This record gives sequence, structure tokens and C-alpha cells, in this order.
Amino acid sequence: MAIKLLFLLLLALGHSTALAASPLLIKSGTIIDGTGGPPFQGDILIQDGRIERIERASGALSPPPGARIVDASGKFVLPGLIDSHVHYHDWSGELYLYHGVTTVADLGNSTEWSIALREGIEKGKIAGPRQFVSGAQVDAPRPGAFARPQLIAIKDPRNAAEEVRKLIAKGVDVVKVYENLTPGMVESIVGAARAAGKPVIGHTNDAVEAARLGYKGIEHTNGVAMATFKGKLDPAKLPFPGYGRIVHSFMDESRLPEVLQVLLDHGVYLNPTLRLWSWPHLDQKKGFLEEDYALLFHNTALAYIPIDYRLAILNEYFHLSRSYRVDELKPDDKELVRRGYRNAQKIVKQFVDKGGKIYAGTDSANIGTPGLALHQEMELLVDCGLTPMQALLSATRWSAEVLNQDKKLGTLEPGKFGDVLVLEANPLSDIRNTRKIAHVFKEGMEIARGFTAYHSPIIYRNIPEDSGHLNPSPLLTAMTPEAVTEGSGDVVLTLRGLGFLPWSKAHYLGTTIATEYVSDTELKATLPARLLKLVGTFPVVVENPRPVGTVNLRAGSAFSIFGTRGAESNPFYLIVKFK
Amino acid sequence: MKAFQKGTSLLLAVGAWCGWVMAQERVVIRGGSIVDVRDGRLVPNGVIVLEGDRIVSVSREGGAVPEGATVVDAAGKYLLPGLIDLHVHYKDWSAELYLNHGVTTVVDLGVAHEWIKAQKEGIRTGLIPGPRLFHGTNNLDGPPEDPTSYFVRPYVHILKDPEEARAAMRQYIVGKVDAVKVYDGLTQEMLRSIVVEAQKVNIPVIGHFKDVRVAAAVGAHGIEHNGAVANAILDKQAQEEALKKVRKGFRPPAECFMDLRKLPEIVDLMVKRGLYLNPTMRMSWQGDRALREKGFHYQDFDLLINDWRLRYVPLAFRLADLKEYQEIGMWHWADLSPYEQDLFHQGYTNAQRLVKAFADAGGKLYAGTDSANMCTPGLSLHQELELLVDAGASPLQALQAATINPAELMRMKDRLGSLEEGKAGDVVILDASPLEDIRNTRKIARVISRGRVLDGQYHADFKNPIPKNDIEDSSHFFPSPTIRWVSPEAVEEGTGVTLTVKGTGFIPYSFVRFDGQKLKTDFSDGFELTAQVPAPLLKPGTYAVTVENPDFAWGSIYARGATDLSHLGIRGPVSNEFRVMVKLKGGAPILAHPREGGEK
Repeated sequence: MAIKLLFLLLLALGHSTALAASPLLIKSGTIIDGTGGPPFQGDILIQDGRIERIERASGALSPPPGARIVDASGKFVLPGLIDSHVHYHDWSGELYLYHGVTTVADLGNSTEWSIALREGIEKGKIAGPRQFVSGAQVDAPRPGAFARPQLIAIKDPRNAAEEVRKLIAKGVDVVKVYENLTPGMVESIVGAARAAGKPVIGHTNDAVEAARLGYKGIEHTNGVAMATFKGKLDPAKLPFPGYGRIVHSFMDESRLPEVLQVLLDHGVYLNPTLRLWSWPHLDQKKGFLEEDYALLFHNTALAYIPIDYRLAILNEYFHLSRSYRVDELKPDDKELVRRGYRNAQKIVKQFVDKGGKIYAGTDSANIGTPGLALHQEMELLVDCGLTPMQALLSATRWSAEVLNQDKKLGTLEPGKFGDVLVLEANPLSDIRNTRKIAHVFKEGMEIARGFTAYHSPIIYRNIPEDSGHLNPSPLLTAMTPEAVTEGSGDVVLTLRGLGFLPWSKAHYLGTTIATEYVSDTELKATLPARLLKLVGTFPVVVENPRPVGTVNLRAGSAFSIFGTRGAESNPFYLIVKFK
Repeated sequence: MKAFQKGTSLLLAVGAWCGWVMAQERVVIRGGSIVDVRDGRLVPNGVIVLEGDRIVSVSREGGAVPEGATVVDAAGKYLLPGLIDLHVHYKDWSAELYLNHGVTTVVDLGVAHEWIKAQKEGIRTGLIPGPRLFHGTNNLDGPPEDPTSYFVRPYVHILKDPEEARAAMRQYIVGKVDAVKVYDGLTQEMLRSIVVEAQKVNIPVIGHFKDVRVAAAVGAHGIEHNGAVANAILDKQAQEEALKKVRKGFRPPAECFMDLRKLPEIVDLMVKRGLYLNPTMRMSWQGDRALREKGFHYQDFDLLINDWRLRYVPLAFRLADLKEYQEIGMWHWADLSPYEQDLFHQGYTNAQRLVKAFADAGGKLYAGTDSANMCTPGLSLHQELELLVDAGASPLQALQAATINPAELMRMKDRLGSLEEGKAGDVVILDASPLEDIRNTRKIARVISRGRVLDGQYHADFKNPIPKNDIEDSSHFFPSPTIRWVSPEAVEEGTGVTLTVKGTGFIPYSFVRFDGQKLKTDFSDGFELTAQVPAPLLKPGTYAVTVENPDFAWGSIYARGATDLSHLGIRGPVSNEFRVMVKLKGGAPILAHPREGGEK
């Protein structure tokens, strides 16, 4: 014990801001360096957190004094993985590191918290992957888009550039935009971001326009699909309102090449987020559901992941967005959705064939399990027809490039961060081998892979646990009639509010009553005559099924975030009058 | 008699069953002096016979007592018609307080919703105990000039234009309202359309007006509060000068700056146009020294706190009523400067001058207390009458303000407001003459409401069969604070910081808590506070910041800047949380990456 203390004490002396690390020599592995070039046998020396040297021959490097030596013979050595689209939560850190994801780009979170986490991790005081952050997302003013720590709602188009400059001044690395911004606003935003050397990444309803306006990365392929049929189809009139991905089912394939060419001409990167198409993978029996379930529910230590998130991740395999349960779809509709997924795959394959670059981002942990989701995403990229090498590039070099961080990250080259992933089997022969992890190193220090029940981010997220992928907490704002007479027959109540689902149910006098879904703002509930025999004033509440938790409601106002957060709504009181 | 009274108690305590209600009981009140509120005459040894809920005859002594009648001996006592409070906000706990104070008719001028209709109906059929209940429309108002600081309340019905006003009126009339309640944001054109529709069904238009001349011009009927009159004769210069001398946020009411030279002219206009005036002396000046000097706050305390049978009255209301006796604007009166206190008192004395001038000129006063949004049901009406007489009205004029005048204003003179044949069987029996001393209205021997003799008691188990179906709230409670933003959101460990907290519902007595610790807090205005966080509290982590208002008469969510969804949120004295982060400073890092391999 005393020796351990002495050892630690010695390490403490003569120390600067860099993490304490002895030199690391990874020898005799098959190096897939992330440049896209062919793999080779070799040694890697990492010192002071950076790659010092790479020798293209086994055993060529002699270890410096005090170096730790890792024998990687028969194993495969890659750059640490990069998930370029995450939403970091208090409980994300261990999961990313366990799965070899040593860098993440948080594209939408409370600005100050993202920065506090990034700094804490850089200082070695908080456990987690390296972070590049966008902080708050930038959106246009619309119902539900009220200013919060995680959202900037641009009120005046003329101030768009100024608002973004203020955001950049706080220290964000990326600017994340939403599709409701006008072209004028986007232009100003891109101008401000470029002046500061920050890339603009975001959603769009028209990939062609986004490319021309200066997006560096386009999230999801919706904008590509919509660009192919722009002017010919009205997206608002497509089936499955609320399920945005349906646009892929109506993609005009004949116009795809010219749309993709515009992206290429402007050097735009594309993140297809294939894993977000949860249901098709269940349909094709890829085993993702079982994988997520095993990880999230078999590890007692991982009980710190909020139950609603764990349920939401599994739940998504059975839904198209929150309102459509797949097993309630007609066969024709299922085929329509499958066609859409196949079109998304075509977009990816054709884009890469033409020389385009994909960056792999999963949207974890708003949805998707941190870390594991990236491996699933790479597998889905190969399903599109990409080579395993291309899938690996999307999670290493191309991700670093889209973030403007390729000088320090993304490949195994001298001068870059010593983030290394060592696998037991060759990912180029089977992409699923990325899951067979032997070692994970971040800046030359090995990550002890495992989950601890006491895992803590020290600085907890300062905004409510929230995600559009959780069922909304329902809110009741009006009820008609407000009064009925005792002894009347069945009465149909019209309930108005926010966050209703096809599976919302109303309760009255301790009983669940027949509830009909009209829309996300209206329900009809039938009070049976037998419950209307008592005079008085009684509460009606609406309950949504778990996983619940979001109050991020369409048309919600700033004050609705103070309202109900659980599965049950606020009560509305019915008067039962004397006859 | 005793069994009768016990039966009445049972009726009041648990609600009636129909057979009882339908009984055509006869009640004879004899031996008392009838106060004729029309002219102030006293009719000695009167005999009043009630059948059902009506007066069937009024005569002098000497007639035979009908068979089967209950006889109430009122020898040596004085008889008044049941009193009318023309401006109430009826609650499900108000009934006994009104009835035991002789207030047998009330007009709710707050809402037109289902609950009030259910109460009105239930009282009418005798299934719910209470005074005769009439109600108005929702509060009709125009679009706010500044929505961010508008006082949002439910049942304020905002109208855009005269067309919308007409359509709204038609709806209310279908719903059978008894009066129209207006606020001062309505334009003159909107008011005109409202008055026109109201005239068609012969109901009065009563409310707040920017200026009493507007009310006169559009032909409205009842003026609430003296503000509308004060605005018409405002001494703007005096107002400007005064505003320079008072603290930020202190808004002296218009009555403080009345140009009294213009009083006769404006009173003349009001009397000519037949406008009725409700000075609301009790409610408007509750924080003034005059009412404390009269000991009114002890009267309220004695009733609401010392009588534990009234425990069913919500504590928040009881505390809020007492609080209002100490409050001017957002401040406790003792925290204001002598100048500010005197300025407020001057408003009171000016209001008294107006009341006197109006009464002397033959104007018709009517009493409406605003109970129970604020002021105690029943008791407050007696306090109002006393204040009217203090101002210079005669006792008769004060009595008329609570009987014949409101009956007239409500167009119900044929059935309410005086002790005459065919009118309502509501009688108050007093031990002494109210004409000699208005305070004698409080010396109640007996109250007869709708032909039934009440026991005059409070019952701890009182329960309204149909409880009120929305939140017990009033803008007179301390607001429930809400936080919208705290800056900075993140600070470095080790150095103290000043937080700026933005939100709604802040008062000079709000304070900020950081991780449960109270902070020294400064009040900027209702939307902003600043607070000092000392360095020792700033260890790395994430901490909740909350705002607290006094844990006393709390709960209103009707703060300026609140929105229509905020009733779903905060209700107590503590706001929602906003979390502030304390970041890790530089310095020696931990010795190894916490997840580094080697020794675990």
C-alpha cells in the first residue's frame, strides 16, 4: 500500500497539464491506420499522449525507458473511433469508452454543460471520450422553439450572425443548425461560423440548397430524398404524418445522381444515421435488439442508465416514430417503409461510389446506446454496399474531417492523438469484428473497460433529462364539457392538450375509461353512466405509456417545461351537478 | 323553534333532500321596527309574514298570526332587508360567512363557468346552501398593450373588436348571465356594442373603465372603484412630481392625484347619466393606516383565526386577507418611506371626498367588496358600509348601497332590496338601529334567508356538495415565483459570483437559494433578482438554484408575464429549479485517468 502511494506520489511530481502517462509501445499488430491505405504490420510508439512514431516492421522500435509494452501480434490496430453525432448525458461516458469510441461530437446540448464536460474530460478529471461540442442548436422561431440552455431560437434574421458569434465566443467547436432556418439566416450563420473556422452541420429539407449555402455536414438523408422530388411532391401530403423518414419512400431515383453531384461539388459530407431506421433491422433479423437488450438489462452496474431511456432504445425497434407501431401496419405500408430504407441505402452507396464521404454519427444517447450504436452503424453502412474500409473511414478519418479536426485526429499518424483501438479479429474481413475489442487507449493510456455502479460525471447535466424519442408527458389544457348532470347516460369528453399518443388513456374515479386518439392535441374519452352517479368535483387525468419524459412538445410554451414530467398529466376537474 | 333550527343546521351541514325544500313554511316576524330603506322611515311594531321564500305581507302590529306559522319575536329589534354584495368571487366555502353576516344575495362578477352555474342552480333548488347567487360574464378585456407584463388570469376574455364583442355577448346571454363585467382595456367602440347587447336583455354593464367619462359616453351602468373617476380629474403634474420621489415599482393609485376642484363637475356628469358608483373603500385601501386604526384587521383575525369552526376556509386565504392589511403595493407599509405612506393615505382621503360629493349630489352608491378574492365574505360588507359613512355618506345612504341600490342596478328591484310585499323573504334582525350608528349592522340577532330562519353558527364539517373545480387562487396571494434563466450558467470553482435570476412573480421579499443555502438577494423588479454566492459554496458539480417567496399566503400563479399554461406549473412559495454548474479549475490533474488500466 505504501509503495503504491509512493509510486503515485512520484508520478505526481514534475507534472504539467498533460495526463500522467508512461510511453506506450503497441507492437507487432496489423495496423489499419485510417488513411484508407492498405493495412501493414508494424509498431506504434505513443508518448505524452501523441503518436510519436510508426514503424512499418514488427519489432523495429525499441521501447524507451519506463514504456508500457502491449503485444498486438495477431491483432488489428485502428484509430480510436469517433461518433460524430451524439447528445451526451450524465451516463454516457463509460459506455463510449467501453466500446472504443474515444472521441464524440455533441451536436445539441446545454452549451455551458457541454463545455464544462469537455474541459473536465480534457483535464483528466471526468471520465469520458474527448468531446467536440456544438452546445445549443440554432433554430428559427416557431412554436416549441423557446430559448433554453440547449436551444437558440433566432428571433430576428438580421441578428442570426450575431447570435452565432456569441455562441462561438462561449467556446463551441461546431455550429448545429435546424431545417426551419431560412436561407438568409443560414447564409449569415455560415459566414459567422466560417470566419471562426467552425463547421456548420445540420438538418435540412433540401440537401441541394444546404450544400450551396455552405453546410459542411448534412445530417440524415431526408434532405437528399426531398431534393430529388422538390417541386413535384408536397412533403406535407405524404402518408404517416409525423414520420419524417417516409420521404425516402418517394425519392425520385432518376434525379439522385444530380443531387449527389451538388453535394460533391461543394465538398459536403453526409451522415445517413442508418441506425435510426430501427425497425428494418428488426425486420432483417440483424440481432441489434438482442444486443442492446443484453447490454442494457443484463448489467446490474448499468442500472444507472435511466429506465425510460433503456426502454426507449428497445421500444424504437417496434415503432416508426412515436405514433406508429409497426405491428399495426398493413403489409402494403410495411413494404412502403422498406422501400424507403432501400432508397436510403442507395443514396449512401451512390454517394460514396462518386467519391463522397460519409461521417458516422448515431444520435446516441437521445436514441441508441452510446458506443454500441456506432458499431451497429458501421455494420449498416456495409449493408449498403460500402466496403468495410469505407465504413471504418466513416468512423475515423472522415468524421475528423467533417469536424475540422483532422490535423489532430482520425488516423494513426505521427503527431496525432494516441487514441488506439486494438481488435481481436480483422474488421476488414467482417465489419462486425469491430466489436471484438482487446484494448482501448486514449492519449496513450489504457481504458479499463467495464461499468461501475458509482460512475459519475461530477458535473451533472443542468437541463431536464429529455429526448424527442421518449413519449411526451401529456398536458391537459381544456376539457368539454366541464360539467355534467348526475345520472346522465354515457358522456363523451373532448380533452385538449399536448403530447397525446394513440395509446394515451384517460382515468376517472380510479378507472381507465375508453379513450380515442384524434390527434396529438385531442382525445375523446367516454365516461360511462355508472361513474356519473355521484355529485361533486372529480379529476380527469391522461396517462401515456412508458418510456416517458419529454416535455419538448410541439407548440409547447416556455411554461410547459415546468409542468408534468411523468407518465400522468395534470388533472382537469369535472363537475357533476345535481339533477 | 329549536327543532326547527336544528333542522336548519342539518340542512346547511349536509345539503338538503327535496321534501324539505318544497315545504311551504310560514314565518312571522313581529315586534320589530322595520327600517324602510327607501326613505329611512322606521315602522315600529311591524309584522312581516313570509311564505316559502317570499314576503307575503308587511303591516303594523295588530293582525292575526296565521296558523302553523313559526313566530320570530323581534321586540326591541330592527329589521333590514337581506344585504346585497354586488361584487363577489364566490368560493365553495363562502356560504356560511355571507349568510351569518346577513348577506343574503351576492353577485359573482368573476366568471361565467360551469361551476358558478352549478352553484347558482343548486342554491336555487335548495340542494346547496348559500345566499341567492347571480353571476356575470367572464371579465371582458381588450388586447394588452404589453403582453409580457400583462396580468394573465383565467376567465379574462380578451376581445379584439366590436364584432367579436357582439358575438361573445350573444353567447353569454344564451348562458343566462345576470350582468356584464368589463375591464379597462376595451375600446369605446367595443364597450358600445357590449352595452347595446346588454340593454336588449336588460342586464347592467359594470366594471373598470379607463375614465368615467368613457363609461358615461357609452351608457354603461356601474363603476367599480374610484380609479375611473380619478383618471378623469387627474392632476398630472402632481403625479409626475410624486413619481420622482417614490421608489421604482411603487405605483400610487390615481386617487392620490385627484384635482379636487374638478370634483363637482365630474360628479354632476355621473349623477346626470345615472351612473352607480362602488367605491370599494374596504378593498382599495386595505393597506392604509386608516383601516388599521379602526381595528378592522383584528375583526378579520378574530373571525378567521380565532373561530376554529371556520377551519374549512383555506389557510392561504385567511393569511392573505390579514397580509393585505399590512401591504401597500409589493411592500409592507413599514418598509415604505413616510412620504410614500402619506401619499397613499392621501388617496384614501381623496376617495372619501369623492364619496361624499357623490352622495351629497344624490348619486347612487352600491356596495361590492370583491370578497373572497380578497376581503372576508360577509364581514367585509359591514366594514364597507362603515367606511362609506366615515367618508360622509349618511347611514341611510350606506344602507341603500347594500339594499335598494344594488337591486336597482341589477334590474331586480321588483324582487329584492327592501321589505315589501312580493319581494324576497330575506330579513336581517338587528339588536340596535343602524340608522343611529351604521356599525349596528353587525349586531345581528337573526338572519332569515329565503324564508328559512338560520342558526347563525359556523359548522366545522361544512362541505359544499360540488367543490370548486379549479385552483384556489387570487392575485392577492404572494405570487408563486418561476425562474426562466440564471446567468452565469457555469462558474469556476473557488471564486464568489453574483447570479442574475430572471423569471416571474418576484417581490421585494423573494430570496434565492443555491444548493439549499439562502443567499443575500437584491430585488430589481418583478422579473429580476440578483444574489451573491460566496466562494465556499462553489465546489465542482451541478447545483439547483431556486427562488422562494414568503411562506405566507402564497400560491398565486397569476403573476405578470405568466402565460396561460403556467397554471400547470408552480403553485407553492418555491420556484422551479434552474441548475448552475461549477467547473473544475486548472491545477494538478488527478494522478491517472480514472478508467486507466493497471491497478483498478
